[in-house]
Parts: sequence; C-alpha cells; structure tokens
Amino acid sequence: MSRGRTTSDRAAAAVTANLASRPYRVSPPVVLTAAELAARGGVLPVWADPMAMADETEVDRLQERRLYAGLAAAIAVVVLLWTVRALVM
Amino acid sequence: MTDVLPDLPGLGRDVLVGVFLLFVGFGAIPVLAGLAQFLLIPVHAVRNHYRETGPYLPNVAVLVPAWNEAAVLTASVERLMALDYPPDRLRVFVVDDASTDDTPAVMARLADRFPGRVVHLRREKGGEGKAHTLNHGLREILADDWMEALLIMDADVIYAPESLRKMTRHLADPTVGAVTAYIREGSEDTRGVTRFIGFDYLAAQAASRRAQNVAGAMACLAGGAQLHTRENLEAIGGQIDTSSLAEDTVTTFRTQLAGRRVVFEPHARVLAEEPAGIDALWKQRLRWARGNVQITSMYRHLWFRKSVHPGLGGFFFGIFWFAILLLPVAMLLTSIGLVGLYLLDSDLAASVFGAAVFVPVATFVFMVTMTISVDPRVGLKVWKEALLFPGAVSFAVLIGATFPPLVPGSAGDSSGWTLFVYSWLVLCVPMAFLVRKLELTRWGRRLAPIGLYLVGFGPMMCAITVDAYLKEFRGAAMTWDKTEKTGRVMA
Repeated sequence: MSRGRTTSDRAAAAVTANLASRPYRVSPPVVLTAAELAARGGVLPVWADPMAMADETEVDRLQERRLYAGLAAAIAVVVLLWTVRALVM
Repeated sequence: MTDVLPDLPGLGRDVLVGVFLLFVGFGAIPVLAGLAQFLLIPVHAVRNHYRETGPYLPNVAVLVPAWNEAAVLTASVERLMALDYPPDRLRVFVVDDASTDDTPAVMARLADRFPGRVVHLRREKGGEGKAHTLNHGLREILADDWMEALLIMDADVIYAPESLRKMTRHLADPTVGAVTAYIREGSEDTRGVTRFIGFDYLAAQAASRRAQNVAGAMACLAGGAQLHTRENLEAIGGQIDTSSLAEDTVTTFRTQLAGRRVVFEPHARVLAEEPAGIDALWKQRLRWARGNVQITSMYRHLWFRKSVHPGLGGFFFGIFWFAILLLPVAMLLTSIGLVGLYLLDSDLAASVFGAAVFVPVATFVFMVTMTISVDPRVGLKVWKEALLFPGAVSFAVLIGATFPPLVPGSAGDSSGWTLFVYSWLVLCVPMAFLVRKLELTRWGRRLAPIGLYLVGFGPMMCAITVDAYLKEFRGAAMTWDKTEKTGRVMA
C-alpha cells in the first residue's frame, strides 16, 4: 500500500487551507426588548453583551494557569519520593 | 541468587534474557505514553483555543435520543430551556426510539409547555441503537435550514447554564467543525463504583482531552456533549455511522479527516448519570472498548501515518491510542518478562525492576496530581479513589517496590513476595473478572465493592478490554446495552 497522500487526503488538506482563509463566523446581534430585560430583573444576560462574553473567555483562559500548580505539585511529590527512596535504600 | 534455571546453555540463555528484557521494555511503553500525556496537560495553559474564539451565538438544535427515558427527560429539557443562551436560538428535538414507558406523555407535556422550542419526534420501530435514533432526528433537522449548529446529547445529562455559549464561542473559528464539553459524574453518589467513575472521568475527560487539545487531535467527542457546525455535519455525510459501537468516535475521526478541527472546552460542564454497579459499568465500558477495537480496524490505514492526517496519524496520537488498547498485552508481557528473568537470573530481574519501578511511580504521581488539579472540587472528593485507582494491592506493591525496606522479611528470602509482585500485574486482570462475577451472586454483592478497591478500577478497565478483544474475535452480536438511568443527577 502506498504511504503517499491519497486524493481524499489532499482534498482534506485543501479544505483546511480554505477554511483557514475564511473570515470568522458571526451571528446577528441579540436584541433584547425592554420587556425581556425587565423579566430578567434588569440585568443584561452575558449572551447579550459581547464584551461580557469576551471577559468570560479571558477568565477561562487565565484559569488554565492553575495547571502549572498541578505540575509543580507533581514534580515536588516525585522529587520527595525520590529523595526518601535514596535515603532509605 | 535464587535462580531456578541457572544451567541453561550460554546462547539460549542469552537469547531468552534478551526476549524477556524486550517484553519488559514493551510493557514500559504505555507507562511512558501515560507520563508523556500527563506532561502535556500543563501546556494547555498556553496552547489552547481561547484566543481564536469569538462571541458567536448560532441557532442551535439540540438532538436528544431517548428510549424509555421518562425518569430523566423532564429535568434534562427544563435545564436546556433554562440555559443561559438566547431563547429564540435554541430548539430541542427529542427522538423517542419507540419507548414503551411514559416518554411520549412526558414529551407531550414538555412540547405544550415550550411550544415551538421543544419538538417530539417518534420512531415507531425502535431498538436499532443510538446511531439510528440520531439519524432519524438528523434527517428532520437538516431538512430545515434554521439550524446552524447541532448539539448531540444524552437524555440524562444536565448542562451548566453557561456551557452552551462556552462551546459555541469556538465555532466562530471557521476551521473548527466540532466542540465537546467536560462531562462529569453527576450523582456524586458515595458508592465506590461511582466515585471511581468520578475520578476516571476527571482523568479521561478533563485531563486527557486537554492533552489532546495540545496535541491537535481529538480521540472522541463525548457522546453526551458534541456540538457540530451544520457545515461539518454536511461534510461528513449528514449521517452518524451505524456500523460500529463507537459512533461518536467515528464522527470525531470523520470530522478531523475531512479537514476540520475538534476542540475540547473544559469550562463547559455537563453532569451525567453513570452506572452504580460493577455489572452495569462493565456492560457500558465493554460497548466502548469494543467500539475502540472496531475503530482500530476501521482506520488501520491511518495509524502512524502523518501523511494521512497530521494529528490522528501522528506518532504521539498513535502511541496514546495503542497504549490504552494494548495495555492488557503490555501488562502480560511485563509479567512474563519479569518472572522469566527472575527464573533465569534473579539478580538481573531485581536490577531491571529496581531501575524501572520509579517510572510507573512517577507516572502515577503525575496522573493523580494533574488530574486533581484540573478540577480540584471534584478531585479532592475522590482522592482516595485516585490513590486506589490501580487497586489497593497494586498500591501496596508500588510502595513496597519503591521502598523495599518497608516490606517485612525483605532482608531474608523474599522469593514469594518477589514472584507475587512480578506476576500481580497480570493476575489482577482475571481477579477483576472475578469481582464482576462476585457482584452477580447474592452473597457476593456486598463484597464486590471491597473487591473493586482491592483489585482496582484500572485493572477492571483492562479486563473489560480483554473481554472486548474476545467478543470481537468471536464476532459476538453488537447489542446496545443501555445504561439504566434513574434521574439521580439533579445538581
């Protein structure tokens, strides 16, 4: 069996390149009537405010940094176990 | 020296030693792959898709396959209607797969309460499996051009209010074809099986899928939380695969092979009800494991061939995939290798084991620590199950092997302990089969959870993989053993 690219593989690569050149998808702005806003206690929902959605994404992005704490803890435990093992062996 | 076979002729002995060392080396591959995977997870802090998202709120059709789900549908649909998402851009389609319980009546009430937003689609002939049920709904939904994105979910899952918009934001990027969410065990039951599943979901979903985001290839969109663009669904044929037991994995592979990305969104949280007993768990996971065996064969042209797909065909993805699929084989070979070396040259066996044992220990520490760190709230509730994931016996073996002076009698003749340690790697798999059998007996039902803690959840998953090999080899019927749902997820 040939290990080269098949026609369908080339087609998939072409799709990827084509998609990457397209503009971002946008949805029509959300229009909230006064009555709808009143039903929500006057509080604008996050989905009606693009800035609030961007802030939410930024919070989630920054929250991923806690993975560094997991990495630091893992390294610390491994080093501790190695040290204890070296001492008792 | 306690060599049992010290008098073998030179060359034959050397060849055997070489073979046994190769076996041990092969057994180390899944461990190293696991370590590599857990080392990738922190990279998600910098290599993620957040900078490529946008405030995108498409018209979303939610497709819910349901067969006798009356107990859970009301809560699920109410939660969907309460999602923090523009109400006029969300419709729910429940495909009732010829249910024989109160599902039609429940759906009629829900359709009345939410006119135009909740649609009941009924199949008169059911029982063909989830993929056929989904396809029935897909045909209806694709016939109308209202839908811009489709969320496929299970009837029992509960979405956190903000979860849908956290998923749709990734679809703003035109290269993304599908997004999946973080499914969490939702009942928070205190039973051992449920707690093990809680940890397993943390490791397999929240942790492992972050690594797959970093690696640029996703193994599987969670069946209960997969959001597709309309364009992607049409590109993969507008139908869900019905030829395997892993239709969600096939959809995931097709999406990526058709040139689109699949993204995991860890902050979109979805609660799911999981099996509360070992036998029910076994049936569910057997279906998944058989599906993975089928996928391995279905996509045999793909593995380790970057030219076919840079992510799925990449070296690391292939290693991760086969590390799980071939784990029982690796455990068997490691045991044979260590016991064989022990019989030929016990000192060499001890040196190899002593030199290698810290690798699984480090991998285990990384697995537990990184997994708990991705969701500390859940992780700290199931930390005991995290430590006992390989089983209490294996945990004791790891401690004993890491700190030999702690093992009573290790200074004297410890051949019994040594042989036990070398062979437990493979013995734990048939023991897991016995634990399942134990649960099915009247007197053993209470003992089975203790057996699970002793043998471990990990070895049980290996035993299920072995069962999957056997069933696929025998060509056993692909039955859809539905997990019974009782509506325990009400968080």
